[in-house]
Amino acid sequence: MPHQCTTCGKVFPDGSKEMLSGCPSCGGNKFQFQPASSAGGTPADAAGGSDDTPTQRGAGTRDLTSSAADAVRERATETESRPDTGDEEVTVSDWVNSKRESGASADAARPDSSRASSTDAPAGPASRSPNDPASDSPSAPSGESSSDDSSRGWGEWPTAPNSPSETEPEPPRGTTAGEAAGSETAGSSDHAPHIRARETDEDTSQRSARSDVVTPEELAAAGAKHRESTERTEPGVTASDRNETPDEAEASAPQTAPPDVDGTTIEPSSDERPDLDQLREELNDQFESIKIVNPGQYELNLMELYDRDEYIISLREDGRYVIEVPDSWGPGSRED
Amino acid sequence: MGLLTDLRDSISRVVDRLFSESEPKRIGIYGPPNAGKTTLANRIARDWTGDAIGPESHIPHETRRARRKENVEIERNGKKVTIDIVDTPGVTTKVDYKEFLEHDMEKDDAVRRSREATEGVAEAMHWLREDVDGVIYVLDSTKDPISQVNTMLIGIIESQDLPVLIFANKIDLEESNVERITNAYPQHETVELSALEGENMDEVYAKIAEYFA
Repeated sequence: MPHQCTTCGKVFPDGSKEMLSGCPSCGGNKFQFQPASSAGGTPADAAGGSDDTPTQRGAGTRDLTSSAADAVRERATETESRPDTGDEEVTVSDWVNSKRESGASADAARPDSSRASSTDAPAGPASRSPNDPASDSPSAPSGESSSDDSSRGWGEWPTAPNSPSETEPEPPRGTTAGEAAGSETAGSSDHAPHIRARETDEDTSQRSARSDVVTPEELAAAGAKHRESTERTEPGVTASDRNETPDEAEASAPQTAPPDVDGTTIEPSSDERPDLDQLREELNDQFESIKIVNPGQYELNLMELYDRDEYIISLREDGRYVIEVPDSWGPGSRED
Repeated sequence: MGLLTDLRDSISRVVDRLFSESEPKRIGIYGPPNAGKTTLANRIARDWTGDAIGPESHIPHETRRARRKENVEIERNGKKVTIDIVDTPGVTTKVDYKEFLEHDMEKDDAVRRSREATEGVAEAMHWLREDVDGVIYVLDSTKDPISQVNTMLIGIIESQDLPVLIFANKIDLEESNVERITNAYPQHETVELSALEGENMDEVYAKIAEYFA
């Protein structure tokens, strides 16, 4: 489902990283899923007859919502009784170290101004960071696409349920074409310890999320490239495939654009408000650090929270959610 | 070339001195919910500045925003250290509003508290990454110290090479078992105390002055 800024109405594709730094148009940080009834904007509509993969996904995603919620609860109760093991002690620090090293090199490769400039305006190829999905994918490190919870620092956090994931792709982790490609060259996992797998599994999405805001052109390019390169669909990428481009979406957005800046008073103009369970599932799929199981019930991935610069999400009970951007994190803002 | 190296060395010495002497170290008080972090922070702040940091409660997640007390001067055994104390929200991997219902809270309030607590954990993790120079890790000595949260957080702290002291709190309670903590984290110094009753605070301050000086 596409996201929509509740301030100016700008629409962002599924899995968009653009919005993680706040709305580039108005700077707002409150979003909602674009109401399904807005003209032509739904993934299913956009997918139409052009590509059957997104259509499958669209249907599957709806199936996923109920079963996933059940599975989440099941897994949560299962893991509650599971004794904690001490063996994470070593791997946690190793992992952090290795991640920080790679993070540092990614930072070093990035011009300081890249975030600011790409946030302000969708620039041309010149602003492309070395880490963006399109340029990253050919040289992306290979690794197994691990679904092992603990290997990603999740522990008690259930990832996508097993049964639907056999027929469905993994939850989106951003536009990481390289990740999917890498997962097919499974040979490397023989000599790569878990830590490595973890690093590569996380890094392509994390790094790209952290490093730069992708431009719509890049999203589209990554999507097209990915579709050519592999049949195995990686949701973050196909998400952009099956949506209209942001520009087109923007054109259709004004009719749903809320008039008010204060998110708490805005209601979606559509009568067909998406089911809250479905919204929650979508959010969980698209962002990893805080999982909203139910209203007032959360599961947190401490590693993700520790690692990420960008944001936390808070889901309002009316289906809106807030993304905190790094600028609002300064120590000054936290003083009492 | 040699001149340049000398110059760089002397600049870095000056910078080092600036940071080590005039800049107070920022010490984060971390730990799971209800370990007694705020009680400890208040005890330290009251003992050395006369002010408290924040409200204490037996209901978990009372602290949902990080709170800071600056320029707390601690002196023991001829060692003096000036620190900023950061009392952080309790870190956990699960927050459930139902937990608060047991404390006679209305559902709406419980849900809100849950949301704020979740945001608080995110904030605490962010501070850990960016803003602390040392960590006091507080554990409730009546509980099993080996948990996913503790293992992960201490692992992160170690990976950052931050100085860390483990405080085994609540020794005034009968079920307290400090040895369990010492055995679980033998690589770190463990200090036992009761922040509530003020037991063994002399050693607490001596260790703080020694470790974070």
